[in-house]
Amino acid sequence: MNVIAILVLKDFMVELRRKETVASMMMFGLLVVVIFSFAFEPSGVEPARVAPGILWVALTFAGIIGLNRSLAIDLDNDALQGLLLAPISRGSLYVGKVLSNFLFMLMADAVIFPLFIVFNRIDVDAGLGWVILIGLLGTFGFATVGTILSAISANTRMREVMLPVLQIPLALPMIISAVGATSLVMLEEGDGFWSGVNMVIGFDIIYFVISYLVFDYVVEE
Amino acid sequence: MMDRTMGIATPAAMLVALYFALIYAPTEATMGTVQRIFYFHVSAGILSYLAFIVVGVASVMYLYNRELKWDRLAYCSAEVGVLFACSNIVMGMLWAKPVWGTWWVWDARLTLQLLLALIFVSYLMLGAYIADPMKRASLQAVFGLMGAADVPINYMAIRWWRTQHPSPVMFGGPDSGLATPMYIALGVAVFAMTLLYVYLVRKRIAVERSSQEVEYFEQMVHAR
Repeated sequence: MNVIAILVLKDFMVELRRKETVASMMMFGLLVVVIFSFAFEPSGVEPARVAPGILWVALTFAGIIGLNRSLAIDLDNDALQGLLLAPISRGSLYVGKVLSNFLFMLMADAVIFPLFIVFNRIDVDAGLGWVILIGLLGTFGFATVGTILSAISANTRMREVMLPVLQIPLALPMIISAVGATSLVMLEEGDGFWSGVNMVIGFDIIYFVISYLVFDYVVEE
Repeated sequence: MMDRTMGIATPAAMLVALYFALIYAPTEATMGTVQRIFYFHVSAGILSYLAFIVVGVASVMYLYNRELKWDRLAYCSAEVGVLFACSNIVMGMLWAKPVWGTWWVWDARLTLQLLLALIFVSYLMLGAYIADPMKRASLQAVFGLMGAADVPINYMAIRWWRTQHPSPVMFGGPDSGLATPMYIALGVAVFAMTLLYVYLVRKRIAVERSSQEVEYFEQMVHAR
């Protein structure tokens, strides 16, 4: 079996037994959606104007909760040492971790997103497919950067604080583009949609390649 | 010797730049005297970009050949770069309040500069929270490289997002451009700021080097 598939399977098995990462991401993302709905409801702003921002704040924060756990579980009992000793390249380790983080985030998003639509009274026909596409691309980009940054922050004191401090400024161009493209879809204005999506794709590719190349330096002893 | 020369040349150049900005350059027609902050505002901005490019290049060099001098250069250049970026932002605000009527707008260039400052502040924070010096050097180099790679992406994303900042006055099409004395004043200011950047980075590297030496001797003493 493919090495990367095994690595992803391992993360899924750990998650299936502990049942903490995805559940806490879902809960946290939901709470963000609820808080923002309360915060914006009295202002009487048309939901479609603030909804893209709410969605991406929820996905961002839920993602960070998951990423914080992602390498921490490997650090317990020095499991990471075992992985590093195994005859697999550091690149495969990185790709496996990105994929499992991405899939965990998608599982959480799959719960957050429908409730977000209900709470914000989003018109469902209005380009739902496009919003999901941006969601997939943006989440992948977030997992790409987040995986390597969670490996970096795992080495610091105050891990849980360090990850968002590193990740949010770095991921902002992607988030800006994703929010922009999402609101273009929700307000049914077509112009500029693809340049936003292309920016997200470009971000995904650039950071995937860079992180793949330098992951070795992050996990070395 | 070099340090002393620069220690004299830098303040001298700053005084000359002040003369050029405040007295030599003509007063701008619509904005008036407040426009004179432009010379220092723009040159601090240019130098902050230069500093962050240096961080990126030095980080790659460190990962490539593991010589500590590259790590020191990256770290010190990031510190000075954050300083320049912040002073660029503050001077911009001082200019924006009378001219735009507000301290801050979420315009493309302002946002870009703010994000750059934030990225490299987190770079400095990262360094402060890792105990092991070798570990710190390589993790910071990785983050420095990623941060430098973010600069062009940020630029593209934010430009797509919105633009309100006065478009580049130089090389910006037929309507743009400065009067020749203004160009000269800007050139002098950029030169003075470059000297300041080099001087600060050199001083900072010297401090860093001696603090690493002290650390080394402390370990020697404890080992006995």
